[in-house]
Amino acid sequence: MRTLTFDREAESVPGAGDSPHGEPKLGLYAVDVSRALTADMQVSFTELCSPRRRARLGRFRHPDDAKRSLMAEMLARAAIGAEWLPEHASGELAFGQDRYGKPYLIGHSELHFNLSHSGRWCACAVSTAPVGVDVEQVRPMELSWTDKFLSADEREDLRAIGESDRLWRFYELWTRKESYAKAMGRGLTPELLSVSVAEGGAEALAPYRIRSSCLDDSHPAAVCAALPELRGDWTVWTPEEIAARVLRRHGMNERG
Amino acid sequence: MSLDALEIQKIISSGKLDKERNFWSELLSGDKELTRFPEDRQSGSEGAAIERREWRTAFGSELSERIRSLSGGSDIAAFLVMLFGVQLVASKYAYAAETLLVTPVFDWPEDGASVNELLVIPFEPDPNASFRANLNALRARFAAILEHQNYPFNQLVKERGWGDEEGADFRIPIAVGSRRLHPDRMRDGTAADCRFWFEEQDGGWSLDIGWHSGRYSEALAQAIASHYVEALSQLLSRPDAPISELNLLPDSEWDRVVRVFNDTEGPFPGDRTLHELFIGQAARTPDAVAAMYKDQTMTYGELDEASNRLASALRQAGVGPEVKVGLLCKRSFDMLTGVLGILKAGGAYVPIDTAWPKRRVQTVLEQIGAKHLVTQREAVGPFSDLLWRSAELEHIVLLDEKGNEPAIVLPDRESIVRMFDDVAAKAEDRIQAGGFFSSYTGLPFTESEVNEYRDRVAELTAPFAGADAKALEIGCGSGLILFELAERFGRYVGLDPSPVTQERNRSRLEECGLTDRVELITGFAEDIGGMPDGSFDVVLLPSTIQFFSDHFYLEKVLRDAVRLLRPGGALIVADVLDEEAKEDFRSSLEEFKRNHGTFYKSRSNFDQQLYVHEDFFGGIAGQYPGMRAEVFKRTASFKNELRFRYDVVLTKPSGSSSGSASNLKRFYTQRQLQEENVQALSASANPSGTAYIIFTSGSTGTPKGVVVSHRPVVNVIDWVNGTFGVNERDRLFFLTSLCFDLSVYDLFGMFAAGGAIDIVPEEDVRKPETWPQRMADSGITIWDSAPAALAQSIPFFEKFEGKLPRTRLFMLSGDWIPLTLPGQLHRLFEGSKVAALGGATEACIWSNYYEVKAVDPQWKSIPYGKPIRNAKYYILDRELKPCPIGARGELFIGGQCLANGYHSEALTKERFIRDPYAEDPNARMYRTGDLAKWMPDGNIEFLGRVDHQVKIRGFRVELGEIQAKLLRHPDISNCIVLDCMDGSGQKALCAYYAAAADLPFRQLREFLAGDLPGYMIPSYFVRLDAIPVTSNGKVDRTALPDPVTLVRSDAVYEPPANEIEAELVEIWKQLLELDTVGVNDNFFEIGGHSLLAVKMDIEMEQRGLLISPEDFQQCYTIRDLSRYTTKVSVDADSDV
Repeated sequence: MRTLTFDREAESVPGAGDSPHGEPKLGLYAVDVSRALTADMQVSFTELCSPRRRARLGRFRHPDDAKRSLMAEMLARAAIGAEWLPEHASGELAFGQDRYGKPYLIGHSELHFNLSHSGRWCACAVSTAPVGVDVEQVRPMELSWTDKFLSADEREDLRAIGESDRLWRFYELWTRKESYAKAMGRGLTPELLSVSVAEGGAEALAPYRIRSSCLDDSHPAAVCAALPELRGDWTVWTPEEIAARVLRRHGMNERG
Repeated sequence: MSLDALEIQKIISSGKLDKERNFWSELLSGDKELTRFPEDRQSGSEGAAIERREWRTAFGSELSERIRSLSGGSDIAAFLVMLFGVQLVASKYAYAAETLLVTPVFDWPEDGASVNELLVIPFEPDPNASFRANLNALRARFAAILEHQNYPFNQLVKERGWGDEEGADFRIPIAVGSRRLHPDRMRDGTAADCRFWFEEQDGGWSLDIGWHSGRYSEALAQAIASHYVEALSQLLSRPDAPISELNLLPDSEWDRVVRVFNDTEGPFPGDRTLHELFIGQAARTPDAVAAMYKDQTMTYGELDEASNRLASALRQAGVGPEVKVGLLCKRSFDMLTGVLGILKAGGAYVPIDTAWPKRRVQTVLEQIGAKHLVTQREAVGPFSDLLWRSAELEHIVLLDEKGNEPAIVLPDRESIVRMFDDVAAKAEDRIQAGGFFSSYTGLPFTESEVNEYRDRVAELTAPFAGADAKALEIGCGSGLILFELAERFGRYVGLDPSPVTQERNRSRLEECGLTDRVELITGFAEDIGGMPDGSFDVVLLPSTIQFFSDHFYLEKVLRDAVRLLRPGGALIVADVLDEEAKEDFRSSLEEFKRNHGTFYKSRSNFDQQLYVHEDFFGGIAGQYPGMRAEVFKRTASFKNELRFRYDVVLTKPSGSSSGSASNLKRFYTQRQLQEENVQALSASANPSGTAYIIFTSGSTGTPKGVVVSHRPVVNVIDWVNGTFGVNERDRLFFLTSLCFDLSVYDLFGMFAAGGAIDIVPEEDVRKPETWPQRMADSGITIWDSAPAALAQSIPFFEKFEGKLPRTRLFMLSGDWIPLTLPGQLHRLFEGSKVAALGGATEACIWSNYYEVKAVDPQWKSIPYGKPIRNAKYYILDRELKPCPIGARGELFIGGQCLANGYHSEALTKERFIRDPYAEDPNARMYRTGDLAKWMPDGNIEFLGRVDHQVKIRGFRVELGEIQAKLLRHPDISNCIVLDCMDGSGQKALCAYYAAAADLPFRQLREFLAGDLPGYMIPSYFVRLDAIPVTSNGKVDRTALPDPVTLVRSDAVYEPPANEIEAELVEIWKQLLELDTVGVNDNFFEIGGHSLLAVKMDIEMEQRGLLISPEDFQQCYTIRDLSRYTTKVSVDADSDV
């Protein structure tokens, strides 16, 4: 029989993923975008984006995709501006894309970050090491086609689990794979896809570690980084809090 | 000759016009638009050749002389004088404080090469200043504009968004010019909807007004011209008087709009109250059916008796004139009994909807200071704690309760015993035996956590312990508290439903040698009802009440517990789940799961446990004089979930010897009502007294109550019944909620005529598919609802296989009526009448009407119509002066049809103001906040809200107009157009339409483009099976889905050019669940994500479409993919 002290103080780990010198090494941030953004907020956020980004936002067929994409970028600005580059205004940060499509921060190659969004959530991981993050909304899906890319022990894992939990477990494995591929930064190639990410085979991925989590009952998430440990809680902001961080730093007032 | 567009662009980019650009940018900042006269014709009307028409009117010598003398002979000064006149008239017609008119430029170079030919003159006249002063201001503005007149007008049009992207057919709404200053070609060559051109000949000025016959009628143009001359004349004859004193209307027109159109006075039974209308009818036809519900009927006589009994009980409970009684009933006969009973007692009923959130119910009860509530046990269930939380509430009638007191939901003894026995059997230690499991981790609490709780209880109990003291613990469970406290009392009784648990306790008592002191009873909390009064010093409920079924049960147990206490004793309820902290607890659980997620089995069964607000205990204590309730929240200590709970101690005063309380809530059931007098009470009839208060959503979020007296309601009921011949053979389909004032007509209109109402049951109110059958069965003759509800049911009427009822009258009100609806009704129900009724709750149900016969294809909306008997309508400008016919103004309602006001005096003063046009000095008028205009025949056209104007790219858009056009599409049965946000944060239009199948977006665009300018064509079209509708019958905007079809400006749609592309298009359509996929679409922009990309890869492989992984990674469109894909034949036997 186990006893566990659920200690409130211990729950919020100060300085997530501390190095011995006390500098943060990994930060996890998320925002729930299920509510509508106010018109003013959307306009203000959009104004911070580059013209190319704005054009892209206008091309999304589903407005929800555009909203998620916009909020993911704002989340990154708020996160980086809050704890990683506080001396820079969030609005001044400029993003570029490498040849694999992975975003990076212009002028700060020592800082790594990654974005993901799906369903209600946008997530952002920031770290001193290359990092990948993935969140997925669990949607009912037929799973037989996935055998083609799962490794043997992953297939075994799924078969062993009861049917009611299988869908969740699949998505959990998927987020782990994606976070790994995104940390590697070279897209989801078949080789990477077939690497087993089930918890047992951790050694094969070294020095990369993967940590699974969930943002709510229907959104598993995974973070992957080449760090000795991946500790730390998710910092969840509301869109209003993000607006306050990002727009104020840029010197803009949120209208209305 | 003007420079062409390219050259103009060059000049602008060179920066030469920066000074001008900044000037105009500042002058036009904000959402300004060019002023236009309200159209009375629709463009695109079939057959009408669109032409330019003209009409000339001469000013005459006197007026011309005044112009000349004021302008000192200067052409420009004279022009400004006449321009000001146009600005004034335009501002009156358009309901605009600031006008933006267009004139040609004033500098015409000889060689003809000018950068710009047109100017916009924004100006806001000051109503308090004189003509002279205003003229000076205009002159200054004009001078500034002249300095910057080289900025190209077309550029402004583009920048301001006045013209749409395609630049097609931009027409100037109002152009003003003068022959003395501007070349003739500007007069004829400028595309304008309305043009004022001034000419002078031999000292006499004249106005040449031109208009676009597709937009304006000749009558309107001439009226504008003559108002103009009148305005100019008044301005020039009193140039130093404040221009607010100007009266644009000649006496005859003033008389027409104020008196003739409002000639509605007529007699009505102004000395009767609403319930007297019913009583009179019940005396005449007591056996006639008054109401039907499912398969039952209630006669007038039965309803009369039932409401008499209720009225009698309420009277004795203190209900009288101006006493507000809450009414909370489900759809049933009880609703009617409730309404009539309250009115007969002399009070005012305040309907409360069972669908409201608890907070709103509480707010309304508080606002009216309700002492009495008429409700049903079934309806009040979810709100039952409010009965005790509200200190004011004293008398509660439960119309459906048959017993002596409110029924208690007894626990399911068997399953509870099983559950607790189970816990006891599985427990490995005292913690588990006590059921102390963390909701976060699913694991048991620690020793120290459990002890913390136990010590808290001990601490609260200590002051009441003693060698002579007796304690009763309800829900002693595994004895965590019992074994700690038993020694501190002389006698200790432990009550618990689980036999297994009590058995274990018994053994342990023997071990501890406590058997002489402690008595164990197996039983449930309600069993204490059998114990004698005053037997205990302490009654303890530790961590017990969360298992109670509801607040009624809790209150009964607490009441019995108080009875069991000796004076000076204490009732201690520990570990109460705090209702106020419920959401905090929920967020805390979610946060924990997020960070420790999949590892632990977090539990959240919020709905199965009873949460209690601390005010509940305050309310309980308040019933006993001298009793105190002390609440101990746990903010200081308790780090686990127990901190979202509290403990409460109720101390019984030591003075009184009995447990009787003077302030217990009084419940009245059918039993008590049966004993009441069935005879009518002596009439407490005051038609000026309040009949009901209906709460509508306020704009600030706090509901606002409209207070209505009998008299104006009797007026409208009497008028409706008389106008439409409503009689005892009529049957009305009762769909609306009591919280919507249409229901007042439904009930009392029918009762006054002797007809019957068919109460549609709750479960069918949202199911239009059930209505035709129901209506046929009940023989419905009258329909009364908001249009959306009826429009929704048309397809079901059309499909109905039985014989449709002979519904003869359709009353539609409260929202925009689709133009196709009247025609459909006339077709389905031959010989029926369709009445469009309007007004506001503040003007007592309805105050204007229009009987729809044929729908004029020119209409944008069904006319608002004319005022009903004893109602008066005024359309006023910003100075509250009457508007001319055809001019847009704000709608005010006066006459005898007004409510008393709002529950808030401040709000009443704001919206109900003095009526300066009535003969009675005390007469009031209600400011509706709606815009409208008079038509020459005395009908009113509704133009939307003052405050909610939809503007797309600077253009004001009438959503109704777009809806009207869209509805003309043969495949569309219903629609609504709203403004929304597109993907890049800009305002766009979204059209939701009901049709059998998806209509191609391109086709819909083209269909509308025939009639509407570009900015009015929606960017999004969403097909629905039906437009969703709220319980009030209005369109349910919250149920409308997010738009999914986007006008793409960049990725041009291209169909597949080869077989590989065609196959890929098929694959993408399936994966992304889309109807249309173009080869230039970016996978991730049209809804794709990486999991689907992998699926696509696999699918391609299966079909023999091969591509290298690197290439696959780099391609995002079908076009790109196809370049790197080769097709190989797929061998059926190959192992894919």
